[in-house]
Amino acid sequence: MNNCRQEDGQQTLIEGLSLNSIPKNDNKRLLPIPGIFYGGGCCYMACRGLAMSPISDVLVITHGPVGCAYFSWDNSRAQEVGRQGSLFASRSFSTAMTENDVIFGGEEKLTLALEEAVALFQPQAIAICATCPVGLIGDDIDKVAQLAEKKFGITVIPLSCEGFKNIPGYRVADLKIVDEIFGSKSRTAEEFSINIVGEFYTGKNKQEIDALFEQIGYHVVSAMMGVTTIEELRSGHTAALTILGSDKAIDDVVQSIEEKYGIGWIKVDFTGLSNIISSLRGMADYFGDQALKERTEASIKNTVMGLMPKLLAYKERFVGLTAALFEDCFKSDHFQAMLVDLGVEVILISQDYAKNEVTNEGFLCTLPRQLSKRWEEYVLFNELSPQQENGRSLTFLLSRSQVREFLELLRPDLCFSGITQQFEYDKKCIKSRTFNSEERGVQYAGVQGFLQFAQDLEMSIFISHWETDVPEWERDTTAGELLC
Amino acid sequence: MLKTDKVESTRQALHIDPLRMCQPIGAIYAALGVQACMPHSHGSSGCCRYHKILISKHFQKTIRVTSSMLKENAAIFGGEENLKVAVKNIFDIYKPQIIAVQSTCLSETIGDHVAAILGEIELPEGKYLVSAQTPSYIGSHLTGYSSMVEALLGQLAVRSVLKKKKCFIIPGLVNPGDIREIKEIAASFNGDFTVCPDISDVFDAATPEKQDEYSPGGTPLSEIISAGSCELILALGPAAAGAPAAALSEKCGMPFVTLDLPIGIEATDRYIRQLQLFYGSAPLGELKRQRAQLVETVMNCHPLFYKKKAAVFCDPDLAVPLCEFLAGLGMVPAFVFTGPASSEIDERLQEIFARYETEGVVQSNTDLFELEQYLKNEPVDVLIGEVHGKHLARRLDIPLVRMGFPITDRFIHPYFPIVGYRGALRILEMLLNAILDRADRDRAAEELSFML
Repeated sequence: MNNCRQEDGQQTLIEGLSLNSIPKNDNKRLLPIPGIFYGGGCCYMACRGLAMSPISDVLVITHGPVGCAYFSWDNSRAQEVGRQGSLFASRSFSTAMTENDVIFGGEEKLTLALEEAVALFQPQAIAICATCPVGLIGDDIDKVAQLAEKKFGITVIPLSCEGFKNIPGYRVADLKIVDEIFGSKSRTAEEFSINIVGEFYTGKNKQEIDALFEQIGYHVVSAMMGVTTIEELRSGHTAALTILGSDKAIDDVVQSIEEKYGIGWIKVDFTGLSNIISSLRGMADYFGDQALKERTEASIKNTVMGLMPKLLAYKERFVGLTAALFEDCFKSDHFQAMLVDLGVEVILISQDYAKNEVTNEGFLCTLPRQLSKRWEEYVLFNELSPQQENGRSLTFLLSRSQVREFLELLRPDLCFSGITQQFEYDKKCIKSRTFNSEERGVQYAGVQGFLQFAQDLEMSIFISHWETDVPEWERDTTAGELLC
Repeated sequence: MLKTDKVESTRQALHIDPLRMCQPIGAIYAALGVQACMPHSHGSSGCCRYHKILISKHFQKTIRVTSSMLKENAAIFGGEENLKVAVKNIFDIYKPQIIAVQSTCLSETIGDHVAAILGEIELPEGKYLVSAQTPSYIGSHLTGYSSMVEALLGQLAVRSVLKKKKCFIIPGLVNPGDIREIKEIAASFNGDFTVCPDISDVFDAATPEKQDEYSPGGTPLSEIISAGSCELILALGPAAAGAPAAALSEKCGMPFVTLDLPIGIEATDRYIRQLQLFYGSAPLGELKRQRAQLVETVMNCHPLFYKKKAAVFCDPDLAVPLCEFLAGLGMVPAFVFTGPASSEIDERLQEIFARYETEGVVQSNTDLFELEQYLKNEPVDVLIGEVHGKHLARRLDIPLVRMGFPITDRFIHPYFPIVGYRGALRILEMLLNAILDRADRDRAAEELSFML
C-alpha cells in the first residue's frame, strides 16, 4: 500500500515535470550591429571549435595567420571520459601565414604543411580550415586538398570557413561531412541506432548520456559537434534516427541527412529534467516499439527516483525566488528550463539583439502574465504593444533603457548576466552571476549537469554575500565606544 | 607514434603549438591602458571575441571590446560603412573619451584605409579617435602592442618646447601588479612621472557597473597629450616599448632610453640607476631594504638552484632579464624559446651566458613543438612559460612555472608583480616551490623530511 502510494507520488512528479516543458523559441537570432558588444564569434570559430575539434582523429590545420590557430587552441570540446585524449586535440596546427604568403598566395605553403603533418603524425584524415585572408587572396584549398588526398591516400577535408562569411561555420563543416564523409563505409545497421547532432555530447555529459542510452537500448553511430571519430562519421548513414539537440541554426543539416539517406530526425534537449524526460519519450515514440517505450519509462523513473530527495530539497530552498535571464539568447532557453524545474520563477527573459533599426539595439523581453500588476501601468503609459503573446506571457521589443526600467519594476532575486554584461544591476538587491557554461567550463546537460546547475545556483544565491555588503566601518565613520 | 624524439624533423610550413599571438590582441591590451578608452577591432566578430575571451580569462574579469562586424558584403565593398556606424554607436551608447581602432588581417587584406575613413568622421566635442595598423600576418602580439602605443602617442601627443623634469615611462606587456611595482619604484624618487599604457586599476579593479562607466585606472588622456613636455622617455622592454619610445622621441624631441623589463636583481638595479641619474637624487623609501632582503634570500637558497636546468618559453622582453636572473642564481637556462621574431635576443642572451659561464639553446620565431623535440632529448628540471605549456609539462612530466601572458587557468596571479625586487622574490618563491614540490613528490616516504 505504502509502496503503491510512493509510486503514485513519483508518477505525479514525473508528469508534473513533463508539463514544465516549454516550447522553444525557434526564431532566435543574434544580429551583429557594428560597434555594439556582441556575444557571437565568426565562421572560422564555429567551424574549427564547434564542429571540427570534437572529431578526435582528424588533424585540423588552420590555413591563415598564426593568431586564429593560437586562439582556437583548446581541447575542452574534445574531451571524453575514459578514453585517452585525442591525439591531436591538445595541439594547434597552422600554416602561420606571413605577409609574403598573403601577397603571393599560400597554396604552396599549405601543400608543404600537409606533407609535413602527414610525415610527423600519420593522421587518417586532415581538415583544412580557412581564415579571412585565404578567402580574399583566393587560395584554392579544394585543389590542394584533392592533390594531397591522392598523394597520401588519406581523407583531406577542405573547409571554406573564412571568418567574415555569413553562413555559420558549423554548417560549413557539417554539410561537408554529410555530403562527403557519410556513406563512405558500410556497417551492419543495429536496431535503434541514432546519430547525435548537438554540442552537449562531450566529456562527462557524453559518459552519462551513453550510459542512459545503453540502458534503454540505443546505439550511437556518430555525432556532429559532439565527441566522435571520423570512422564513426563514415558510417553515419546507417543510423535510423537523428536527434537534434543543438542550440544552433542547424536544421538544414539534419534535413539534408533526411533527404540524402532517408534518416528521420526529432528535436531533443538534454538540459533540465523535464526536457530530458520529454526527449527520451519523443525518441521512444519515434521508433514506436513497445519494449523500448517500457525501458524508457523505467529509465525515467529510475532517474527521477534517484534525484527526488535532492530535487525536493533544492525546491524547498529556492521557494519564492524570481530570476531574470540575460544570457545570450541561446542559453536563456536552457536556463529557463532548469529554473522552472527547480521551482524558480522566471519573470523576465531577454533575447538579445533583436534590432528594429540598423543602428538601434533591441531586446525581445518575455514577461509572465501572472505578474502583470507590476508592469501593466508602465506598458499602458508607454503605449507598448506586444510582439507575441500566449496564454502565459507577453513578449515586447524593448530598448536598453526600457529593459532597465522593467528590472526596477520586477526586482528579481537573481540576474543571469552573461559574459557580455549587457545590463548594470543595482547591486544592493539584484545579484548577478555568470552562468555561462562555456565560459565557466561547466556543462549543464544531463542529470549530473542539472544537479551541478542547482548547486551553482544555490551557491550564488546563498553564499556570496560580501559583494552586496557595506562594512560597518564604511557606513559609520565616527569615533565611539570600543568593542572590547 | 608521434615523432617528437628527433630534433632533425625540420619544418618549413607547418607551425605546431604557436608561441605568439597576432597583432590586434596586443593592441587591445595597450588600448585598455588608457583611461575611458574603448578598443575597437575593425574586423570580423570572431577576432574581437577571441581576444576578449583570452584577455578576460587571463584576468578572470570581463573586458569590453567592440567590433566592426565585417561580413561578406564588407569583404567585397570594403568596411568603411561598418566602421562609421560602429564609431557612432560606440560614442552614443558607451560614451568613451577615445576609441582606439586596430585593423585586422581581414580589413588589411581588403585594403581599408582606416586612418582615412576615421578622418572623415565628425567627432563630438572633446572626443578622440586613434587608429593603428595591426595586420595579423605581420609580427606578433608585441608588434601590435607597440603599434598601438606608437599610434596613441604619435596621434595625440603634442610637441612642446617647454620641458618639465618629468619621466615618461612606457612599460612592455606586463600585468597590473607589475605596473604598480614599476610605479612604486619610480615614485620613490619623489619626482614627476607618467606611465603609459597603465593597466593598473583597470584589470585589477572592480568591473564598472554601468555600460558607459570606465575603470578608474588607465593613463589619463591629458597625460598622453602632454607627453611632449617630458624630459626623458624610458622604454621598459625593447620589443614592446622600444619603437613607440623612439617615435615619440623623434616627434617631440627628447631623449629616450630603452631598458629591459626590471626583472631580477640586475635589471631592477639598472632601472633604478636610470631613474636616479635622471632625478639626481637617492630613492626614498625602502628600496634599499627590499634589495638587501632579496640578496640575502638568494644567498640562502642558491644551493637549491645550482645547475638546475630550465626551459623558458615566453616573450623576448620577459625572457632576457629572466634568464639573466636565472643564470645569476646558478641555474642553467638550457632552452630559451620565443614566439615573436627578435633580432637581438640571441646576442643579448649569449652575452649573459658568457658572463655567467653557462650556455643554452636560443631560438626566436619558433613554436612549442620545436622545444618539445629538444626537451625529449635533453630534459630539464623546470619549465617557465605561459599556460599553453601545460600539455607539454604533462607529456614530459616536468613542473611548469606559469609566467607571461596568457595564464588562463589560474586566479590572482596578475595582481602580484614579477618586476622589481619584490617581484624577484616572488619569482624565487614560485621556482623554489615548483622544484621542491617535485623533489618531495619523487622522494620515498621514509626520506621525507620537514627540513630542506
